[in-house]
Amino acid sequence: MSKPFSETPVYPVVFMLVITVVFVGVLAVFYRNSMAQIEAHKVNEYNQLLVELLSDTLADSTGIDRTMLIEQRDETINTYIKPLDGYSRKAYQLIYQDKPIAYLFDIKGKGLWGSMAAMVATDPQFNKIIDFAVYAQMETPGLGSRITEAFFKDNSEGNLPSPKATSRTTVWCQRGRKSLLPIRSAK
Amino acid sequence: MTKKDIFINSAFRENSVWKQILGICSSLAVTNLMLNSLIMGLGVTFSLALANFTISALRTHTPRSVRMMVQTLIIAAYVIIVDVFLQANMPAISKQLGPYVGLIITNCILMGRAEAFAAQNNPIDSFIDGIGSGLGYTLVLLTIAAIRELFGFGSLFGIQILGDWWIRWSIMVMAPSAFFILAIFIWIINNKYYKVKA
Repeated sequence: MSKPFSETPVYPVVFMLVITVVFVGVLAVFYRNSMAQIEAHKVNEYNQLLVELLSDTLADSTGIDRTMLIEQRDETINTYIKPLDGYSRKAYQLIYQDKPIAYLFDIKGKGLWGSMAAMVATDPQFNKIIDFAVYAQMETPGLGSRITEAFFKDNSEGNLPSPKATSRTTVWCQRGRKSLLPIRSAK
Repeated sequence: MTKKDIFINSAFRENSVWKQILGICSSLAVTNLMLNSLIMGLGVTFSLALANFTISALRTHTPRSVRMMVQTLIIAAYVIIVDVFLQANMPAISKQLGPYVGLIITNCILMGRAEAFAAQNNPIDSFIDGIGSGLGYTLVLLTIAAIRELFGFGSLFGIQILGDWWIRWSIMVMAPSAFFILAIFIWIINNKYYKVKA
């Protein structure tokens, strides 16, 4: 008499396949239904950071309160921030009275456990980092992930460092500088 | 064992954290704020209860040779649901909890309860065991978080309790504080309820 199917060597394989298909199917449907919301949150968060990094410079130039610029984020973006096209990475210029008063670059690089993404805002002469923030990283919580905290961010502001410097902050700044050079030569 | 006994056993007598010392990593990592701890605890409770239920419902059909893979797959599916739900509906909390939501998959409590209970009991009892274990874990998280948030930020669930006069204990915001609070907590519980007889 032949063995029941549940005792054949192929049964665990078939069982595992069925279970995998069922659960992956459920997850795919669930994720598909939530995807639009997740993407909307990511865009909001990105735009919020974009405005926050440029808001001090804009507030100084326009005299508009910084908080108001951040609160009216979409209007601030539409009025003052223009994307720069034609570059390999995202870049923006902050325009006031038809003149650029700051640039912002979206830079990406390798972290310890995965890739990182950050924004660097500079003055129009590319000599000074106005503001800096890491917005995506996969570092160890409590250790490398502290790269997003203010104490790290504050280290990055000020004059662009010497190309010979080797600290992690400097490496990030150098990546920002590399992003700036093509734009400066294009001007 | 009655349903009530199963719940009390998994939540208190055999509490995963203070009795079995499981799930310590996340107990230490997310307890700087009570809200984060509550969401983490509820996430674990949801994943644990439903994973237990599913594993138990499939236990008679699951081949022994692949049971660990099946359990991991089921646990991972529920954890991913929690993770995606938080990303879609509570993005700020999702960001604060960071990778720890995803790491529920590797939380020893889930595999421990799947192997020790769900694989040998009926789905309803397994579900209750999951709820009990999850709530027991949440209780520990909230206790540690209450101490850390109160002394570290002067607040509970973000509501300011201590006034401006309070000088914040910065050590409480940092990870090491969770180590000694958890250690003191386990020491008190063990001394009071599980005193080893010589």
